[in-house]
Amino acid sequence: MRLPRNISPAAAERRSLLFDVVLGLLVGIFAIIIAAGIGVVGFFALLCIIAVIPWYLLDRRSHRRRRRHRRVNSR
Amino acid sequence: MALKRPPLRRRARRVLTVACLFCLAIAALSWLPAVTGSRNLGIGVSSVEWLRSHGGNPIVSQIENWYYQLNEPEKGGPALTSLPQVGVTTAGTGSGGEGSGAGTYLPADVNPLIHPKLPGEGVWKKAGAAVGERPPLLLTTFRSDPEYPQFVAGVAWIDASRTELAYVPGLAEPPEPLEARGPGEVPPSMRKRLVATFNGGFPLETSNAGLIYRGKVKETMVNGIATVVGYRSGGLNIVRWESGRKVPANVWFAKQNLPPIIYEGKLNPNLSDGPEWGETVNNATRVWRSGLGIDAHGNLMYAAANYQTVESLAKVLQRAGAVRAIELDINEDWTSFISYRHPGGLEPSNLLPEMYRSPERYLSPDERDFFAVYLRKGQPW
Repeated sequence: MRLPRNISPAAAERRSLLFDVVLGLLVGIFAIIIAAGIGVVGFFALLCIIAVIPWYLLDRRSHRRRRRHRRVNSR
Repeated sequence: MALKRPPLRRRARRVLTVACLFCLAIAALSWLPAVTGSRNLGIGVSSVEWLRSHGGNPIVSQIENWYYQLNEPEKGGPALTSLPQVGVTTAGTGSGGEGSGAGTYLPADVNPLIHPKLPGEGVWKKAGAAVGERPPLLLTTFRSDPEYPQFVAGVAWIDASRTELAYVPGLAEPPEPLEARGPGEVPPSMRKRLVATFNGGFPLETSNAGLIYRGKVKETMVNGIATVVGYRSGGLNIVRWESGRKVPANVWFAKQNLPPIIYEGKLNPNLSDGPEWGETVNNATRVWRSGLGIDAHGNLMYAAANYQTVESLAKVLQRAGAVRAIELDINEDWTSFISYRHPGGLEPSNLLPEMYRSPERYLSPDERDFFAVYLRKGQPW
């Protein structure tokens, strides 16, 4: 069975989100299995989250700036 | 319509975020009970302890070492003009080493390392407010290192003929399973005879050393390791363990920690050898350290001070008169020596004012194991 290829952009976004969430959970489970302990996993996960948050914020800011720029240009 | 995927970079970030949030959630399930269940510790210290005991010991140790290297004290500096006051009255031991009563041994005052000596430096003082001519516990302070004239060591002398030593398990150390763990504090029924309490050694998980509790092996004993031994008769000793894995019939408790720092009156020649002195903070890092020694008359001596190396701690104990000694726990969070001015655990006070843990520490349940010094039955206060 193959997944339908011709789907709306919103459905494609939902599909990739589901795929990424499942993959993320698998990566998490794998990390917990191979780590020396849950403390190490928690410690590095916290560091990653701290690093990822500014990345999200920067992306959001540049996204907003681009949108504003586009709006000004279209006037 | 053709399938349009978000950029790979954003998807990788999304996968990473989900993985991290999942791991954090699982870790939180273990961390939360650990920090909310710690009665005597702040959230920071209990979090570090949780990380240490859940595979993060190398991480914590590395961060600790970086921290201590960044905060390493400088040599020299202004000289002190006074020492912290310990005890209540001078014991009057002088330099002879014999007390005033017939057949009573009291230690000679400690000859300070730095001259001229400060008022009261090295002079033994009674810890109890109403003790007689044979105080069970004496306290003193002296500057511990001529290169660092601001550092002050606190030393206690415990009369073995009048006291007995008990090993008290904490709520979390030694870890489960442990038979007859007790309440993790000085039992109220024993407080009438309570003279002092002080910290134990490293946690079993990081010490690679053994423990015998109530005559049973909790952790396999290791030959060659310094051991505080309490005998069924009430006697005690500090030995280099050579009895192998078996429990000698006369041993009630035995707590091991690292190789001896002083043996037969001599400093361990390997005091400057890093890996031998624990897998957390190395031997040359200047931190709060504590140690327990025994003098030539079989009396115990406890010493603690900030900014000590293993070697400087051993020298403090040797100067105070110890002929054999073991290093106990280190770091400001774990070093405590508390004396009680009155029977019943009343008016507790820390050996040094810089010891930040509450003097009430062992009168309420504590995470870590510790030692309690009681007057022998029938001994007057």
